[in-house]
Amino acid sequence: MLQRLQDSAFSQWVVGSDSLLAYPTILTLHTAGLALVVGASVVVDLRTLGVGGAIPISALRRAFTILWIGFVINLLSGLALFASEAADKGAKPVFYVKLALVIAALAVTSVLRRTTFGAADDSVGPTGAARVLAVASLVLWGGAIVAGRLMAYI
Amino acid sequence: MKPMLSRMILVAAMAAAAVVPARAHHSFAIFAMDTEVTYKGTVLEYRWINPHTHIIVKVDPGPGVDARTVGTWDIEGGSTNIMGRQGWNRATYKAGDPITLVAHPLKDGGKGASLFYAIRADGSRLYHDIARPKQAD
Amino acid sequence: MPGWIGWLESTRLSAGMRDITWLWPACESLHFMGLCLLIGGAGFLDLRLMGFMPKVPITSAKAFMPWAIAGFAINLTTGSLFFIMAPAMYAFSAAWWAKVFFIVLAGLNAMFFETTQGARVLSLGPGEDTPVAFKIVGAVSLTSWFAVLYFGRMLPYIGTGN
Repeated sequence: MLQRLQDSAFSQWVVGSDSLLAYPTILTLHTAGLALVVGASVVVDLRTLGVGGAIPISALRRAFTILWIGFVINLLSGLALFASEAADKGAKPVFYVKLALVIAALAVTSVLRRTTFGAADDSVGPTGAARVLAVASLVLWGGAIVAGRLMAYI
Repeated sequence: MKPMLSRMILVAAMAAAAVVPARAHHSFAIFAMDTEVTYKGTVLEYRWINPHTHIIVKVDPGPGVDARTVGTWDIEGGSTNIMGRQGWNRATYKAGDPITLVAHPLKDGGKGASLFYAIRADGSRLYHDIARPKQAD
Repeated sequence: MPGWIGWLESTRLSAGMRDITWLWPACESLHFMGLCLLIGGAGFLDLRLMGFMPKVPITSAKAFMPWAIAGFAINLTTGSLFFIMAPAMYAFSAAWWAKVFFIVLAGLNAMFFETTQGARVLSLGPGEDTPVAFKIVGAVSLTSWFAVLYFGRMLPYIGTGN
C-alpha cells in the first residue's frame, strides 16, 4: 500500500519534477513550519519557566495560534513528503519515533494551553507541574527535530 | 544585477575549478571524497528524483574492468535541480544504456558511491555539480 | 578568492572534521534547534514591534532575546563548521550568498533599532500602538530571518543558481 502511494502520480511529481516548487519548496515549507511551531513553543515554554515574568500569561495566548498554523503547514507538507517516499520512509523506525515525539509534544502543548494559558486569572502563575511540562515540551520538540534530521541518514 | 552576480560566481567557480575539488553533497562524510573510481557498466535504474538522484549500475567483469568495481552499485547524485544545470535531465540515461561514471566510493566498502561525473560516448563529461578535477601536475 | 578556498579544504582541520562521520548530521540538528530559538525569540520582539500582542509591555519585548542570541551563536558556530568542512560548496553558491546578505541585513536592522529607537521604547505608553519605524524594523527583521531560513534550506537545490 505504501508502495502504491510512493508510485502515485502526485508522489512522482513531488520527487520527479524539475521545478523548484516541488520537493524543494515542500521541504522548505516544512522547515518554516518547524520554525513557527518550535519557535512559538520556545516563547510559551520559557515564559512558563519564568523568563519575561512581567509579561501577563494571557498576553501570550496568540503564540498558540502561530503554533497551530505552523503545525498545519507541517502536517500538509509532511504528508506530501511522506507520500513521495512512503515505502522507503515507512519502513524506517526513526520516522515512527519522530511521529511519536511530535504527538507527545502536541499533547504537552495542549495541556499547557488549557491549564496555564487558559487560566482566567493572570495573577496565579505557572505551577510546578506546568514547569515540568514546559521542559518536557522543549525536550520533545528537540527530539522531533533530531529524529526528523536523522531520517535523511538512517 | 542577478545575471551579473551569477556570471561573477561562474567565473570564480571556473577559476577555482582548476584547484578545488568541491563537495556538492550533504552526506559526503560517508564517502571517500579524495578517491575516484571509474565504474563502467550498464544502467539498471536511472532515478531522476529529489532529494538525490540515483543511478544503479551493474559492472560485469571483463578486460580493462577494475575488479573491485564488479557488482551492482548505487551511485548517488545531487538534486535534479543542481544536476539539471550541469546538463543532466530525466532522459540522459535509461535502463539498459551503457554508462561510465567516475565516483567517490563509500568509506565502509559498501556498494555505493557519490557521483563526480559521467563520461559520455563522445568523451565529454557530465558533472554532478560545479566541482571539477584537480589540475594534473 | 579561489586560492584560500582550496587551501581551507586541504587543511588537516577540514579533512579531520569531515572524517568524523556523525559530525555533519549533528551540526545540522543543532542548526535547526538554533534557528528555532532565534526565530522564536527575535520573532517575538519583531511581532511586538509591529504592534501585535499589545498586552505585552513594550519593555518586555526583548525578554527572549538572550535565547535568540544563543540560537544565533549556535548557528554561527555550526555554520562555520559546515563552511570549514566544505568551503567550495558554499563559497560558489548563490543561495549561500543570499543567506549571508539577509543575515547582514537583519544585523544592520537590529543595530539601527538599538542606536536610534531606544528612547522611543521607553516613552511608549501601555496600549499605545507602535510607531511606524518600529513596525518597519520588525517587518524587516522577521522577513530577513525567514529569508535566511529559505535560502539555507534551498542550498542543495538552488546551488550556484546558474
